[in-house]
Amino acid sequence: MTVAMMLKRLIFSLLCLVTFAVSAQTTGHDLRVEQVKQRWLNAIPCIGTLQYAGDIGFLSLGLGWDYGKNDRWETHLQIGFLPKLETETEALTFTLRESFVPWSLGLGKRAWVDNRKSGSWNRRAVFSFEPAVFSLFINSIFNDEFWVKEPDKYNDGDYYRFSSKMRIHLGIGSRISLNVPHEKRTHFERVSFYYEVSTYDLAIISAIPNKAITLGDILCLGIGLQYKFF
Amino acid sequence: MTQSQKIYKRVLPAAILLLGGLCMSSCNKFEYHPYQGKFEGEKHLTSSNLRWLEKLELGNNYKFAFISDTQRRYDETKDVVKDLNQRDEIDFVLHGGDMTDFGLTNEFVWMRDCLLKLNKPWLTVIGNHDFLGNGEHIYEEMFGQLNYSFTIGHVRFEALNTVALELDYSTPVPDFDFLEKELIYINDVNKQHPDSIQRTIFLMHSRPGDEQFNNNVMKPFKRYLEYFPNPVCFNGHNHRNEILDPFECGILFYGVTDISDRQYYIVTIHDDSSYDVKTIDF
Repeated sequence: MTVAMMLKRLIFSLLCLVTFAVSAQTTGHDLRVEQVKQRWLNAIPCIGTLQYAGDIGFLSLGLGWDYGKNDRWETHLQIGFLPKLETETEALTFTLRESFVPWSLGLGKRAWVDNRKSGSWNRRAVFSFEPAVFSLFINSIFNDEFWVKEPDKYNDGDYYRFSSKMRIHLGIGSRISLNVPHEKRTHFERVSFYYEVSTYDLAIISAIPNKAITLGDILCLGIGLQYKFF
Repeated sequence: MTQSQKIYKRVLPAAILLLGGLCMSSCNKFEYHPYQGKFEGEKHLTSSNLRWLEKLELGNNYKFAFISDTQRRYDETKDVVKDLNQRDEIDFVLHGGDMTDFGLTNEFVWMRDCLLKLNKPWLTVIGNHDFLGNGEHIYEEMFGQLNYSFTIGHVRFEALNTVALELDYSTPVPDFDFLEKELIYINDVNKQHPDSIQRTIFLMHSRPGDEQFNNNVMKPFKRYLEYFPNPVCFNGHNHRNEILDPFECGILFYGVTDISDRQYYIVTIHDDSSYDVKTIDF
């Protein structure tokens, strides 16, 4: 083997290596990493809420996500503060909320807004009205006096047969939103004011067998602000 | 007009009307939590009813009604209130506890508002269901002390908290310190004015032997009862009418059924402080 041949081989191998290295920048693994990162980006909450009353605390702070066709579905996590009233202590509550917003009606003049999902631009109304927001939420109160499963002192949980700590609520409300035009945006894409009328499992089963308890008796009101960051 | 616009045109007014209606009906009803503790309206009802009872200046001969376990039975409670209001011979009403089923703040309010329609004084004891969640704090705020007493004619009434299980036996239930003070009081009164207290009526939710009672002190409790002049007990909790002598010593416990059975007792106290109990259907 001549020196020239050896050199040729060396150059060939080096070229192969370089080619391999270049192609390695876009391997399946890299794509996968990109996908995983993208998915984790979707996990960043894009909505913040601040709510007053509504059976989940005096004031509640929340983070949430919207998704699905036209972002009609929303999931929220809310932490509520319940002050000491006639009770022994103050308490925190936690809420997991699923909402469905079937309609959004444009009000007033339209402006350019960008659509986060498709990356395209649409002309959208500056104000919009969501006439119905249906919510199902579970609330848990953090306090020693409440239990999910009955303590052992009650005959293997066969005494009261309910959980004092976990409540299932049903709510319906509306909201009015300001869709901030792109050029005027500083912090939020959309700011909404909402109210919600809701009730819960134990109130419903109290009202059903009693004419004396009316629908008005078991409903409660909550109001809040919702900020859509992006 | 597109399909969606048509839907909006139909749905929108309906939705606004419906939601507006719902909103109006729950107006002024910002509720913080099912167990919020905060409530509007009357408080400290035990002391206000005792003042009312005192004003009636009942003699040695009177009648009271004994109802119990009205939890989640608002229609029947309304009916019993109507029935009791029609009976002028009844001077006051005693409630054997369990006004709520889950200890919810609203349940206390709903039941209170039913019972506030009574045209005579009414007094309560706490039941085990009233303890649920933070119920006992609401009970204390709405009604008052868990143990209290009063005298009418020759009879001393002792309202006792007997639901020991709810307090994990960490608080003395029944409260023997309270019973001791009462004994001393009765003995003092009877020393100064002989025979002025001839009978003791105990009002409690659960009776000795029930799972809620602290049965470890069942016998000491019996011993205490024996020190009181002619004791007789009225209890709820067991959802049936029964007359028991659990200690087999002649101290009777009159258990009344829950209000869904549409029954209650009328207890007549006679001049000689003897009594009789009649079951009423309404």
